[in-house]
Amino acid sequence: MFPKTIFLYLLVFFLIVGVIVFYVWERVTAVRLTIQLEEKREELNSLDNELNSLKIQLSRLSSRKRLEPLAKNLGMKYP
Amino acid sequence: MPPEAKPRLGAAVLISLILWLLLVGRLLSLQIVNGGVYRRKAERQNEERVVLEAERGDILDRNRQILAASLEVSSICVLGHQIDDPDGVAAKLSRLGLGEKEEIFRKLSSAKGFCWLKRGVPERIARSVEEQKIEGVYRCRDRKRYYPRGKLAGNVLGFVGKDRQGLEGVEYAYEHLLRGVDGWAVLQRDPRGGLYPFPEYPRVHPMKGADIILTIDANLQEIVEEELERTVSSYSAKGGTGILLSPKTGEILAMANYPSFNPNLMGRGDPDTWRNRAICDLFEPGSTFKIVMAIAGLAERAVSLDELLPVGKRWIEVSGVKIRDLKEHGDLTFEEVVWRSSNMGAVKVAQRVGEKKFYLQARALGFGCKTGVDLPGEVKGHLNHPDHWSPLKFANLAFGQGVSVTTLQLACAYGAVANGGVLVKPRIVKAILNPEGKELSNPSTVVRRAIPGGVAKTITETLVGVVEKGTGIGGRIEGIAIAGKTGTAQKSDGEGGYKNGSIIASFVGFFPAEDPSFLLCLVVDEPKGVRWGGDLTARFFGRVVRKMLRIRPYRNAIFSSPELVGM
Repeated sequence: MFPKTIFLYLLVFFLIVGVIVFYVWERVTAVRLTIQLEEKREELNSLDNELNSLKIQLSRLSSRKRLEPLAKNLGMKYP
Repeated sequence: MPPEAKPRLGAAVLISLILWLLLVGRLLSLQIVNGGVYRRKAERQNEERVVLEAERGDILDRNRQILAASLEVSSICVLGHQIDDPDGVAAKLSRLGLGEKEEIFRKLSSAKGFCWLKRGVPERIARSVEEQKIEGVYRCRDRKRYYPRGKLAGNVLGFVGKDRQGLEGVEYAYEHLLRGVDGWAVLQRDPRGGLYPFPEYPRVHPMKGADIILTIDANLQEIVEEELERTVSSYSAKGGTGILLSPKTGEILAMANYPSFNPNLMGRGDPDTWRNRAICDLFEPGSTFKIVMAIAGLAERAVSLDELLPVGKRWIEVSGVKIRDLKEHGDLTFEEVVWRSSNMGAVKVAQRVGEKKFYLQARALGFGCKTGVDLPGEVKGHLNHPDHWSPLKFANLAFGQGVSVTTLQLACAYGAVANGGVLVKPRIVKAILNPEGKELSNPSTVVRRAIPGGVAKTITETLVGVVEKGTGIGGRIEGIAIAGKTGTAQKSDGEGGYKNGSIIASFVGFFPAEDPSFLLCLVVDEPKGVRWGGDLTARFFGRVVRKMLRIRPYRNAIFSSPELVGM
C-alpha cells in the first residue's frame, strides 16, 4: 500500500510543478500572441499603405488632363 | 572527533558563517537596498521606448480627390561606426542603384552614428539592399508626403519639410490638425539587439492626423491653371494669378499661380515660385478699382445712372496734371463711364463723393485689410487714410492708381457686389474629417454689409453692360449674363514712379448675373505687346468659363440651378 504521506507530498509536488508549468505556458502564449498581434498590426499597416497608394493612383488617373484626350480618342463630345 | 579538531571545526564554521553573512548582506544590498537602481539599469538594457509616428492627414479636394497624402516608403539608413570599409560598401550600394559611388562614400565617411543614406527609395532597391545584409546598412520604414497631381494647386497646398512638418500653404496653416499625435511603446530587447513587444509593456497608439477637405475643385483648378499658363506664355508675361470663388459662400474653387512649382520636387525648384501670389503679391488694380467710385457715387446719391457727365474734353486737369481717357468721346452717362472705363468720369464722380466717403467705401469692401483667408502669408495691401491724400492722389485713386491690393481682395470686393452687398470671408477649407470619420464643416462667415442691396443690384446690371457692350466684350458668352470689369494699371517702379510700358492687366467677372454662383478674378503681370490689358484678360476669362461649361454639374449650375450645392 502506498503510504498516505508520500501520496500527499507527491500531490503537493505535482501541484506546484503544474502551477509553474501553467504559469510558464501562460507567459509564453501571451508573448507569442503579442508578437502575432504585432505582425497583424504590421499587415494592417501594409494593407492601409497599399490602399492609400491605390487611392493616390486613382486620383492621378482620374485627372481631367488625362481623361479628356482619352475621351476624345473614343469619339466622345462635350456636353 | 579528536579534541584538537574542535577549534579547527569551530573556525571553519565561523568562517563559513561569516561568508554566508557576507553573501546574504550582498544579496540584501543588491535586491533590497539598491534593488531599484539595478532594476532600472537592467530595464534600460532590456527595454527600449520607441516613438510610433502618427500618420499625417490627407488633403482632399471638394470631391474627395486626393491632393496630398502620406505613403510608407523604404529608406536606407546607416550606422557609421559599424562600417569598416566605406569605399567597398559605397561601391556595392552604388551598384544596387542608390546613386553615385562618390556621393555615397562621402556620406558613409562622414557618418559617425545613425544617418539617412537615402529616403524614399523604390521597393525593389530597398529589398536588394536588405538581401545583401551589409554590416551597418539597414532598410528602414519611413513616410513620404506625396502629391499625386504634381503641380496642381502647389501654391495652395504648400509642402512639408524632411521631417514632415508643414512649411507652406495648407500644409503649414493646418499643421496642428494634419500632424496627428505620435504614440509610443516599450519593447523588449533580445540578446541579438532585436526588439519585440511584451504583453504587459505599455503602449500608446498613435493618432492619425485629420484629413482636410478643401473648397478647391481639382477640375476647375486644372482649367484655371491651364488657361493662366497659356495666357502668360502667349504674352510673354512675367506671371499671373487667377481665383475662382463662390461669392455666396466665400469658397475658393480654384486659386492658380504662374509660375508655380511641384511640391513633390521640393528643394529643386526656384524658391521664388513657392509663395502664393494671389494673397502675397500686391499690385495697383487700375480700372477694376473703379467699382469703389461707382458704388460710393450711387450709395451717396452723388450721381445717377443716366446722368450725363461732362467728360467730352480731351483731358481734365488736377493739380496741374492732365488726366485723359483711352479714347476721345463725347459726354457720357454714368453708366457709360463704367462701360467705357472713363478715367475722367471716375475722377469727376469721386470728387463729388468726397475723400472721406470714398475711403470708407473702399475700406468697407475690404481694401487695406486682410481678407482673413485661412492661408499663411496674406498681406493687407496699401490704402492710406485720406488725411495723407493730395487732390491728385485722390484723383488717381478714383481709377485705381496709388492703391495696392491682392488678387483675393479684389475678388472678395466684387464678391460683395455679386452677393447683394454682403462681404463674405473667403475660405480654402470646406471641412475637417477627423480620424473617426466625423466631418466638421467650416461654415461661411459674413464679414459685413458693404453695399446697400439696391446699389449692388444696379452695379451688377451696369457691369453686365461692360461685358455686353463695353471694354469686357472679349469675355462675352452667348446665353450667360456675365457682369465684369476690365483693368489696366501702370506698374510701379518701386521708387514712386511708373515703369514705362509695363502694365498689369486684370479682369473680374461673375455669373450668371441674375443670381451669381461663380466669380473669376484674373491678373496678368507685365504682358508684352499690349498697351491695354483688359481685352486679353477678358478673353482669358471667356476661355475659362467655356471650359467650365464642359463639366456637367457646373453647366447645370450656370444654366438651370444657380445654387452651388453638392458639388
